Amino acid sequence: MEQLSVRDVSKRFAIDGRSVEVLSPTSFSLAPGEFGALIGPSGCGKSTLLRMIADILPPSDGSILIGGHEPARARREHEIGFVFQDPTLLPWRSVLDNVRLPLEIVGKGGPVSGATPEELIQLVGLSGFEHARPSQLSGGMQQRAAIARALVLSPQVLLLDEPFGALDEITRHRMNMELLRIRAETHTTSLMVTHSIQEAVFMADRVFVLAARPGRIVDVVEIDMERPRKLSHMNTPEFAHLVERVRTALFGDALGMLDE
Amino acid sequence: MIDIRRALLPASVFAGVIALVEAAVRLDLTPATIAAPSVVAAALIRQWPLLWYHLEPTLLIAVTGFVMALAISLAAAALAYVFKPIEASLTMVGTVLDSIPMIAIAPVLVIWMGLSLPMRITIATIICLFPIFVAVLQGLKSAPGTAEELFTNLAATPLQRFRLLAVPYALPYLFVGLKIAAPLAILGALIAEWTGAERGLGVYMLNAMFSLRVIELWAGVLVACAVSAGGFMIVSLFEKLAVVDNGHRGAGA
Amino acid sequence: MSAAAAPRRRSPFTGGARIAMERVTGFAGLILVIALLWQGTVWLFDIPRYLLPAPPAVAAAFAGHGGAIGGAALFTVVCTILGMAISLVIATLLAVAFIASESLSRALMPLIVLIRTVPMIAIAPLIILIFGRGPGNSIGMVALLTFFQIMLAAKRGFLSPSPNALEMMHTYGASFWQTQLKVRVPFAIPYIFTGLRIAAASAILCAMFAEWLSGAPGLGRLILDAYSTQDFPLMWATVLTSTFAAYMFFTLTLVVERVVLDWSR
Repeated sequence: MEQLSVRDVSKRFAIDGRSVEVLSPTSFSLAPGEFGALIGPSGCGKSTLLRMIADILPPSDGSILIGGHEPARARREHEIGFVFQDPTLLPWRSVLDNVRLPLEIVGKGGPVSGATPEELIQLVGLSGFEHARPSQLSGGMQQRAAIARALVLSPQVLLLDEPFGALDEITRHRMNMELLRIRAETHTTSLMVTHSIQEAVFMADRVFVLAARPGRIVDVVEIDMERPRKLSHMNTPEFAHLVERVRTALFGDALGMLDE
Repeated sequence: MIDIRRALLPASVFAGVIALVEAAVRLDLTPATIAAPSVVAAALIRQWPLLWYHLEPTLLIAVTGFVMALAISLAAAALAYVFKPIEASLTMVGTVLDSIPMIAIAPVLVIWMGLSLPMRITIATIICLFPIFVAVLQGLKSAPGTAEELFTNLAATPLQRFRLLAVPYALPYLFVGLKIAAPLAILGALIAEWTGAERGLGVYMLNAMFSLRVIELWAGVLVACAVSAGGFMIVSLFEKLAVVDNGHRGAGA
Repeated sequence: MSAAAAPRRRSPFTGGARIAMERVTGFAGLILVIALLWQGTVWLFDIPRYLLPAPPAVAAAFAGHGGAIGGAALFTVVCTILGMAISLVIATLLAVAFIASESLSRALMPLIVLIRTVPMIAIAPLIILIFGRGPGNSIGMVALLTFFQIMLAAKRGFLSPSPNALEMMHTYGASFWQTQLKVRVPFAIPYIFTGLRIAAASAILCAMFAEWLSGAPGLGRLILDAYSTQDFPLMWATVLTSTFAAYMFFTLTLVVERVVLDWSR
């Protein structure tokens, strides 16, 4: 069964009195444990799509199913973990208290099984920093805490909105490895929005390439590379070929023009 | 807290100005309405029992008004945050109230409550209300957009959102409002006494003004300034104790 | 470039005039709504006449005492304008001085911040003692009250150009005053207008307050006189006038800002 199913989902916004279609009817799905990447230029609706799956925004049309449930129900039952571009840690809470936040909100009816906050902090590599304040951590470390927080309720699906976009390249590579390592333990179905072709190809099982105005999927690239992925994979001709495919899909006809 | 080195320069300028004024008065260079600082200081010490007799009720009005305004504003802001439709009406009421001059509201209050202590406390409360309300409401809404989305993702109840997200983000803004309101509470007490009272710092100052007792007026003004600044500093002290490490700026100074 | 018909040169005053028109009609509309609500409240709750007179009574007061109200309003408005003008000049000069001399800023700014914690109105009796019972104390109080807001706004404005802009002037060998005029002043103007706008809101109320306390012949004293003679329709008519005056003062700052911006375009 599909873990995540998106069928003919579209989104229209009213801008300056006109109705603008940000995302035209889009369909795709993810199998359990699969890692999908959404890549596309600004305005292609990828962040909007992510937020519709998370039930933060309502779709204008179409249906979304997470583990067979509608987004509203999935959100209420805490099936969705979300990692924002900004770590969004509460500045007055320690790392441990930030990771515990979802448990506080859920109250007694929380998940009985699943990792404890302390175990997750260890998993994301922040051991020793449990009582640090977010302001004392680097950007990368804050995002790791945010990932731990997103996983504490053992969600079925993990959504990530350009989580490493604000980090420098070296840290980004390291965080990519970290995320894959964490996922290897939790096997959570994941969907990540990214700006970086390399990141998309490196992380994902499938890359969904979007175009803008209106937003739509123009290509789906299967990443057949073996797991666990290593940074050395980025030097292989296989990798370069896949990056080329994604790049072609992204730039389309414009690619020829750029070479002139 | 206060960097001694940085305070040295303005402090010496201040002392210099005082010395200059003292000299100018001694040399008869100033109009009769400027009193020599030394004479004012002496009068302050000599008349302290009288000054305290008048200061006591003023402080009572100011503190009571401040606390009441705080309580009402907190309740109103919380309501406005949870029930969005109320926000617009409350803000409008507050704006209108704020733009009607106190000299027009005071007579109405006198008719309603007579020349009484409750009337004076009400004036002080009204003056402090809007600044605190506006500040707290702004603070409650100041959480970053992604934090609000996080709470949506976590399916938090409105009460949880209020308690765990809005209130901590509102704290720095609350203190900005309180720092504005503390001197206003003193001002409100003075205006209340100028509207009608038998005893109080405002009465003391007004009497000194009408009978042209220059030194006494300067002494009274000095006390008013000191109390005003004192209120501001007490609130600042509370702020340092309460807002431990919010980590974010933007609430302004 | 394709030849396009040259746009007709519009007077720099059209933008300002339009703002004024919008604001006045907006206010008139608001007054109408308030008058209706007022009448409804009075009628519904049977509020005694001495507490809150009905709109028709207030209108009658306008008709009967138009001259007195107009004269008082003129006095108050003129005092406020003079006070703000004085404070604008001094505040801007002081802000420039602070930019020019870092030590002056370090010496005086903490004192100014300290003085600012005291509401100016609290020392009104002292101002009245010093300036007497005439227009001087209204002007003095307005100047004192608005000085701080304008000075802080001007200082923020003068400091707002990015270091890059200032470095650029330096590489062209610009003198201190050239830098001030060409870079800092244009950057500062929006900030100064914001300061004026914030100050304008309370300036008129401040002048009225000084009149209330000292007896100078402005709107403040008129309110007090009306109250003492139990003429409440007149009192509320004066209050309405003062609110309108404060509103128009605020509008004036918007209009002047728009005119200045359009002129410099």
